[in-house]
Amino acid sequence: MIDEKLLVEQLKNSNTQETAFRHLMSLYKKQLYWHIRKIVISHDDTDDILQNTFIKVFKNIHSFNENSKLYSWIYRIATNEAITFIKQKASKQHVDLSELQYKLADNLSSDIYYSGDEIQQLLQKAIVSLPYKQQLVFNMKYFDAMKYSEISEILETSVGALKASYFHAVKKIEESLKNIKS
Amino acid sequence: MKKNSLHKIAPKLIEISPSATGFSIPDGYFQSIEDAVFSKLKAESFSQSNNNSSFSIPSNYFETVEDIVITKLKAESIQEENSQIPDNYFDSVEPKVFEKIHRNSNLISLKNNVIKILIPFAVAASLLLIFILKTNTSKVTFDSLANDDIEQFIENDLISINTENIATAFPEIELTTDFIQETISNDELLNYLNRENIEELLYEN
Repeated sequence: MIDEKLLVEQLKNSNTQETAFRHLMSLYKKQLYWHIRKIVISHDDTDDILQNTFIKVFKNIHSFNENSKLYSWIYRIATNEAITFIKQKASKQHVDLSELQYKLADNLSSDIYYSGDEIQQLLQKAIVSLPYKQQLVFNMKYFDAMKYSEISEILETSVGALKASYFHAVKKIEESLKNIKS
Repeated sequence: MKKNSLHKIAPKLIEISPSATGFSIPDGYFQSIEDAVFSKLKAESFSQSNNNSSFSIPSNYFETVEDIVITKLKAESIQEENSQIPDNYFDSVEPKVFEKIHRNSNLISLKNNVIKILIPFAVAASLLLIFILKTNTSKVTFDSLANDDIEQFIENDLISINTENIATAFPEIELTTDFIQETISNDELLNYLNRENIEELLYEN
């Protein structure tokens, strides 16, 4: 069990900051990595965003007001970083976000860090065809098995709205998978 | 949404394991991420510390810089207006230069004439000053100054004299244009000097 309050204190104390920060990274790096990777698809982009997320945490720890959980706060930063990144990337390529994501999912087979089979790739294409908020809810619920209350705190959305989003996301993905398979 | 209900509404989706996304990562990636983050943090803080932080600026510099630039621009535009040359300036510059050269040559010859006239006075004044200083006595007068002594000083080149000495020695003398307009030939000047007794001139002054 992580003593979040103690960890935050150590992160804010310049004498213990580095050790505490290393501990924080070791705790959350994998969850955050996969959360970001599902949004931006590419490993290299994910690596950049993950590092930037931790740097933001390090720099802004003094403004963390402890009204929410540290874990939720970091996840929120990672989500915002990933979404901002992917939107900027789409803007640079003069395409809209869904078009870029579909292109990324379509090119997965040539990605050296992707070894999924056909059905897994189809699932990725189905996910990126969703509105990006539904993508987030689906990924966090289906792959990361997070509780609605946790997702609610991270995305600052009511549990009811999240449940509705997830339901719609599942229905659309199932529809896509049926169409592709048939 | 529970697993059972997911089975009902998404049987195709439930066939795909959530733990197998197909994404993979480079070997040892998660072992190196902390060091990568610290390296990036250090690089950022180094770049920030080098980002003009060692420089300082005068107080209120940025509040006044617009006014300074505008003032400079105005000054430059005034200077440009004033520095515009008249029409045909370059055509007329040569005749003007020659005219000035000619005028200066007259002035130079006049200056030489004046010097020739004033040299005896200056010599006398300088000698008197030297004797006063050397003997440190107030009793020295022109009466006690032998002509031989003066001649000896001049012959031995013990007196250096130039136009500045003359101007300093005779501040009350003013050159008038009337005088400048007079032309004195060298012969006339030599005759004058031969005719006049220098000693008398010294006594008169």
